[in-house]
Amino acid sequence: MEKKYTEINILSIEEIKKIMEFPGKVKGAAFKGQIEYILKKKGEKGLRKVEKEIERLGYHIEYKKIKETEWYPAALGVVSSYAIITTFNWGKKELINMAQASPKVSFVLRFFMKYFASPEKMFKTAVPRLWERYYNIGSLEAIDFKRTKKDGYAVMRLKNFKLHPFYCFYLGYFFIGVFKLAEPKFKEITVEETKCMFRGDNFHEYLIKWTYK
Amino acid sequence: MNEEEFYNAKGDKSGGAHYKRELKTLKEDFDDLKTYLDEIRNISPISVCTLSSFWVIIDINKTAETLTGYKLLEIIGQPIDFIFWEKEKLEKIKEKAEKSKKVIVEEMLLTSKDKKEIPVSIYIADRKDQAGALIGYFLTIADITETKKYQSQLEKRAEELEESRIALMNMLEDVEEARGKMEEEKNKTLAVITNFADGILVFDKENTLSLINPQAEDFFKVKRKEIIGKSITELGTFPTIKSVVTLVGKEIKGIFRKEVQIKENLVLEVSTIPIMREEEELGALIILHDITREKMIERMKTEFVSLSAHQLRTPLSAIKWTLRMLLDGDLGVITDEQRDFIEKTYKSNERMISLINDLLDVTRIDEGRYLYKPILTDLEPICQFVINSCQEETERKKLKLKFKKPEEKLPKAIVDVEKIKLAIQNLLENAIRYTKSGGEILVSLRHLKKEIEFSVRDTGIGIPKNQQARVFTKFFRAANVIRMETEGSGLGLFITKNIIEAHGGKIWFESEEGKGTTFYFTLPVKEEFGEFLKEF
Repeated sequence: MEKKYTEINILSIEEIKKIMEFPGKVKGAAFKGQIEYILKKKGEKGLRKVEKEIERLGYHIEYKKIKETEWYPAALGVVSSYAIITTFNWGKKELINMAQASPKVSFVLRFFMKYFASPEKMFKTAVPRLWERYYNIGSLEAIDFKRTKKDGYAVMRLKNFKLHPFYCFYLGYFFIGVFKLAEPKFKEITVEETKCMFRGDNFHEYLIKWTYK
Repeated sequence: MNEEEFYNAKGDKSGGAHYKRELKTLKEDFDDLKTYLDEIRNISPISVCTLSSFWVIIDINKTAETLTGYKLLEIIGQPIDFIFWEKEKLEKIKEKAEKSKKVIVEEMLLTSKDKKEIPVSIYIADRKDQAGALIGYFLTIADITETKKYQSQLEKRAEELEESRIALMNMLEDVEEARGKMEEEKNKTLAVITNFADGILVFDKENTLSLINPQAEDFFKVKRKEIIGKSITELGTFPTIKSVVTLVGKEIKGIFRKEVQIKENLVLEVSTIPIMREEEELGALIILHDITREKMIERMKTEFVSLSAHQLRTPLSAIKWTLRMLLDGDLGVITDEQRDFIEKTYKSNERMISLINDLLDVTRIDEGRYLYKPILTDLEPICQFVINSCQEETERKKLKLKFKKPEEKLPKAIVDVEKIKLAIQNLLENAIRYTKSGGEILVSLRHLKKEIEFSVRDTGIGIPKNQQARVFTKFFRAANVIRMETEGSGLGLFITKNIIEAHGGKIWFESEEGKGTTFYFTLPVKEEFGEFLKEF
């Protein structure tokens, strides 16, 4: 069954506090895509607004000072994404675009280009390693991959990473962004979180399906 | 494995302190390296794109952003044909890049975000990992808009030059064609000149001989190569050409049908014609017409007339005196009827003697033997004498003849009295002859600056306009005169003209048919005689 993302729930300060208790860390590179996206859409002023919103939520981020190689609380990624959405009153479409854009500007991701010789190689080799480069918690496994001249699919499994359903959604489209870097000829590409730890599963499982032009 | 065991396994006995320090150093080096690469990325004046092995754009620098007009997020993840729309060409380049180990250099059109086509040079170099496997490409893009502009200008200039060259070639062809035609025309002209019966000499602007035809060579008995390029003055040194040079002068003055004797049996009629192109005088042409034969025939004719006239005059004189004796009664008494016949015969004989005398005068003129005996004298008595001699005839014809003498005394002129008498007589007799009864004749003499002008004005039948040009030629008689059946040989005005011109004077007339005619002549006085006297 395909999971339908409906609405982003309004997070309370308490809920955010709880999210921030998540122990994992994420590389600053994960914020890079968000920064570029805001700059493109709203400019420097937009960036300041988001920083203020994060302040309002009780945290502090100076986007321009974020280093791609530094570790930051993984939960801050959720807070940042949430603050961006609320600041500009964006919806699902903008969140998807932002998630897909994120890998495009990642310096870390460029090291992985050597694995992008083929989509299959990229999937099987780069995906697990890419997770390790971004997060110090959890693991991403390539489970299945099949590709024909017309279409294909890939199944990935994310283990030991239970942050927030909002972030589960965000990650799904981040993966699509990575796939799009590997191969440009998709006619259509979709992602579905077939299993989710927030739904009682032991891991998250993403099914990415595509058709070619 | 605990942390201590992990570090021991890595050879770090310090409990991880060295390992962590080394990691920290590596991280700092990595950050520095990234900053360094970012700086290069941002300041490089050349557009650089990093492509995946699937030709997906995975990175571009600032200059490339500026060139394409796309921001990072807009262009990264896009296939290369996102900015290069020439599909077939792009596919060939990709194929070439995938096969070749060398840097691929091509020219393409980059389509920017605002759909502007920018001519660029692209350099594609492949990227390989340490194992030598292809991991993507570096794409360098150089904007060659300016170069293309210059190239376009150069091509345009080259095209213009080519057009000019073609136009020039066409012109040259036209010129060549024109030259051919000109050459053909020249050959034709030369053929005409060469085969022309008359001799031709062509002189350039500097009066240097540039052409002589074979006929002229024959006239002068010279070779073309001997005289071509020589000036008119130099040509004067050739004995056979000297007389022509003397005639035309150093400046080759305009003359028309002047006769010149080259040698005993060669008489040429010389005419000069200026060679003009619009207003510019390019030279002169001398035409030499051989009139030796005509001159000979003329001479023979003159000799024949002279001989005939002489032979006729003797018996006519004998007839005259015999008739005179009959009329005077020296040979006996004659009846009135006989007298009437003899008188008519006598008059006819007189006319024949007069005609013979005229013919002899003409032959003398033609032969140049019309000798003059000039003396310094007054013209008025001569005129008066002739008028008196005509008085009887004017009265018979009931004409009013007046002599308008000058108010002041005329200067004397050097004239042959008998010849001038004859000239005046011819003019006056014509006036009497061609003026009907009751008409008027006015003879005038007047002094002009350096001349004496004589005139005879009548109210006679006049000379038809279309025949006036021939008045002074031999045997001319106007049509209206012939209809009147009056006497006259047609030689009087010819003789008169020669007499006047032999005196250095001029003769002319004004006439209107049905109204009358005025004949004028002038004779020079004083210093004007200088040249005239040299002839004697």
